[in-house]
Amino acid sequence: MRSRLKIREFHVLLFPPLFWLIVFFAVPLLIVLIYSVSYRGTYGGVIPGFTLEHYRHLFDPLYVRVFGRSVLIATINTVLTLTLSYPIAYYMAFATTRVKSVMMFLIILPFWTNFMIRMYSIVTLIGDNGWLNNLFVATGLISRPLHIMNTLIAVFIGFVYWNLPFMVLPIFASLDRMDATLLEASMDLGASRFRTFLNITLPQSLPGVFAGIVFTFVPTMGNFVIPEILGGPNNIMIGNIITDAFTQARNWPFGSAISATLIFVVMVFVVLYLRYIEPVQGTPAAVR
Amino acid sequence: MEGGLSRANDLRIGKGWWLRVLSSLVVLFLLSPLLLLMFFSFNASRNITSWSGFTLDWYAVAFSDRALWIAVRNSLIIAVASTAASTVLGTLAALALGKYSFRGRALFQSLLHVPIIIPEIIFGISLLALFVFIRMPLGIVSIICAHITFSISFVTLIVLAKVRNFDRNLENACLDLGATRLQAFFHVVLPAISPGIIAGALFAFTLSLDDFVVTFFTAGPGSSTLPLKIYSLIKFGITPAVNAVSTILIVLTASTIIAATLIQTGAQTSRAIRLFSYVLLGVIGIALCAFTLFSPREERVVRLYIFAEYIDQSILTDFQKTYGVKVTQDYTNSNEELLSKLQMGATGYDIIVPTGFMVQIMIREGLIAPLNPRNIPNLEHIDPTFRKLWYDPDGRYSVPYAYGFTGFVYNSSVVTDPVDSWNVMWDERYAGKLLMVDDMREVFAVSYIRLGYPPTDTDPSHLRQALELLMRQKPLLRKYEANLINDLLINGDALIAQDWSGNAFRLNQEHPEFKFVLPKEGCMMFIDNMCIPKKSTHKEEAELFLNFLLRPDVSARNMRKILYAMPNPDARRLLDENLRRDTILFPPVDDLSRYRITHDIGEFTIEMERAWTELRGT
Repeated sequence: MRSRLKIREFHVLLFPPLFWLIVFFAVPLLIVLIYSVSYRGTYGGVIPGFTLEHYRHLFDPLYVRVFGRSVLIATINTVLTLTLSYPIAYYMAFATTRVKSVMMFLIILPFWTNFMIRMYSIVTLIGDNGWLNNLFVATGLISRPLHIMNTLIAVFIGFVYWNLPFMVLPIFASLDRMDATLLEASMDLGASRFRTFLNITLPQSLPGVFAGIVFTFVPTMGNFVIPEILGGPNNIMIGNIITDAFTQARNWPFGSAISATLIFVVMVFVVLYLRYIEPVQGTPAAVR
Repeated sequence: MEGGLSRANDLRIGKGWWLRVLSSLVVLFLLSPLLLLMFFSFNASRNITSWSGFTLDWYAVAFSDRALWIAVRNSLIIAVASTAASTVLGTLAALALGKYSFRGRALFQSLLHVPIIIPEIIFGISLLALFVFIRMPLGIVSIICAHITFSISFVTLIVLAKVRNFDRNLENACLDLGATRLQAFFHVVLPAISPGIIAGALFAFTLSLDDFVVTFFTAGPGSSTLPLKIYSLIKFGITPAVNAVSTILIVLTASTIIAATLIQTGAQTSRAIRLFSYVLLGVIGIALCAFTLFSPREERVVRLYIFAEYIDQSILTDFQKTYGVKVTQDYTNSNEELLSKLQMGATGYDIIVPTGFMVQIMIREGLIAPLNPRNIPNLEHIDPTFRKLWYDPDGRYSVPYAYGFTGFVYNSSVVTDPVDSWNVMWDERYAGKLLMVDDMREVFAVSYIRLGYPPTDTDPSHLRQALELLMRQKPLLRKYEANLINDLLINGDALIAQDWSGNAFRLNQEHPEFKFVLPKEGCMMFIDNMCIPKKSTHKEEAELFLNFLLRPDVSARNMRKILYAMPNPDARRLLDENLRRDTILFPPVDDLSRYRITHDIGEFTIEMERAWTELRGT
């Protein structure tokens, strides 16, 4: 009796979200895949058919180079974001409940302002005559304004700003779950603080770190707005090429082919994550 | 969960001063743009980089901008609806994953994880393809569906953490004691995981409110959200009015969250504070409901799809007063976007504003309907030079609306040499202070003109030469900029910039030291036209509106507001002397052949696009 009910409950739980994701997520991706092997209409759109021409197009050294640079920028950005985020997540995890919620609130707060407006605010902050430069010059810290705006540094500032919350929150979540008695045991047994961190805290936080890396790396690869606003004349990334393909070039199949490739990269990340990281993180507390 | 690490405090772990300092600095970094924009919403000047006195004027401007509040309303409707649906669906998914192991679990999980990290643009485009495929009209509903899809994943992951920490024995005990499954769920499981659900809902709401890219692709007539509106406004630089709206929204959301948290923490807070919180939440709730529900529906409407700030708002209200027909507007950002939307089957727009070359494409693709001249008698006011141009030889499909030029602007207080040629954009003395517009055709046109080729040239070897010339220019450029040209010039980040005449005129009005030049080698000219899409369902009302717009007094009023020239000599006569005689606004155009009008280059677009990528990608 109970098991039948259980199955029914399971179906009620599973099918609505499953159905939704298939219709509004899996099917659209499939359409993109179909586009990527169709012929191109001169004025946009696709003409049914089958061709691998657009994928061959991807191996054009020009696009390979842009792809390589996107990977490099995304990697550096991920390292920077991680370096800044870990200490904060660590601080939050060991703080009082009150401090925790206040920090959480402050970290989410920027999201309530439009992304574009935040980015343009950064422009007024780091411009040649922006607030930071004016402040530094006025206090005598530097003699001439720093040229940051429209360089790669500005792009990194933008990306780190954008990604910080997505890195801090997962790391915080896994640190917060940690069993404090382990730390006590470690230190009671004579391990130094550093050793305790290295052998206990760090391994326990790795799932969060990995989740943060995924949340940071992939979206950075696909972003086109930040390099456009903060970058210089040659800071385009793979996201800009996709956008251009769908708008200026009216070459949907090519845009779809790049997208399909990017989706493939994303899939690899997700499969790795689900196979190696999630099982560790997902173990119910009672078992551990 | 609570206090899991509290005992670790005895060990004084995570209490180092440097951690505190670093955390504060990072939070400051996160908040500084917000503080800056809140601060500048009270700035007396339009300029957002220097303080010139306190004012509340921008709040008055923001409150009286009806289009802005319609956008806010749309955003809120979408956020509330998508949050509700995605919270339910996400919670169900989290329970399924947390309580059961089943075949295909891994697949289901990847289906949940991919939406989080997939680049937004792919997400948006693929959803648009779906909506077109299943013939679902684009609008608020399609945006809600899109937002639900990307929110589900976040909700599930957040709730899942709570489900896993939930002691299953509690539920079993409950069932053993005779509770039904539903009872057990509502009295035991739900309360235990509710913090996760609330956090998930909060996250979904936030994501929905902030989303631009996905909304951009899935929006249809009458569904422009705040981010869309802001994006199109940014073309004219951010005014403090936009900052004012943002400030209002920050304060509103922040107080909602704080009030909700205070209520949740229960006993810890005093009764007075809790009471206050309830009242605050109630007021916000009622205000939101009133705000959302209060949207009168008119039978007769004209839906306008136009660049932001490209029409005087008072004309729309006047038209409604005179004819009882309401005009709604949505914002387009480029001709290509307009074309894609129409090709994708976007229906519901009654008037669109394509540039000449796009009119030609749209006629060829059968996207626009012929006009009935008898319904538009005011066509007689239009300058005949602008009628029946090459893109619409019979003049049957389009009515010229406004025109302008792409030349360059320079700061005459710094650049004192006489400048009348494009050569100055290659002058090394201004290295790092030069801007070109972020528009493939405009950039290559300049290069073609310098080389002496027509911008419509489709010879690959000429394209190579043009690219080489631009490659030599690139090291001198600050960047290719689309939106902030005026701001960068005012801030002194740039001295000379390729620019559109209307934009330059606006700049010149406020800062006379910036002069606009139509270079002697020639320059590009564009003519924007009003057309009616074939799928329009209010053709009659649309023609009525076109006719109204061409009335000389209306047209003059419109020109005064948008500061682009209109080919309507009778209207021009009604303008003030200084405006009428302005040479930026009205350069002599008796002979259009002096200017290069953008043509479509068909298949050659692909070649140029590759060169454009090469230019910016190496």
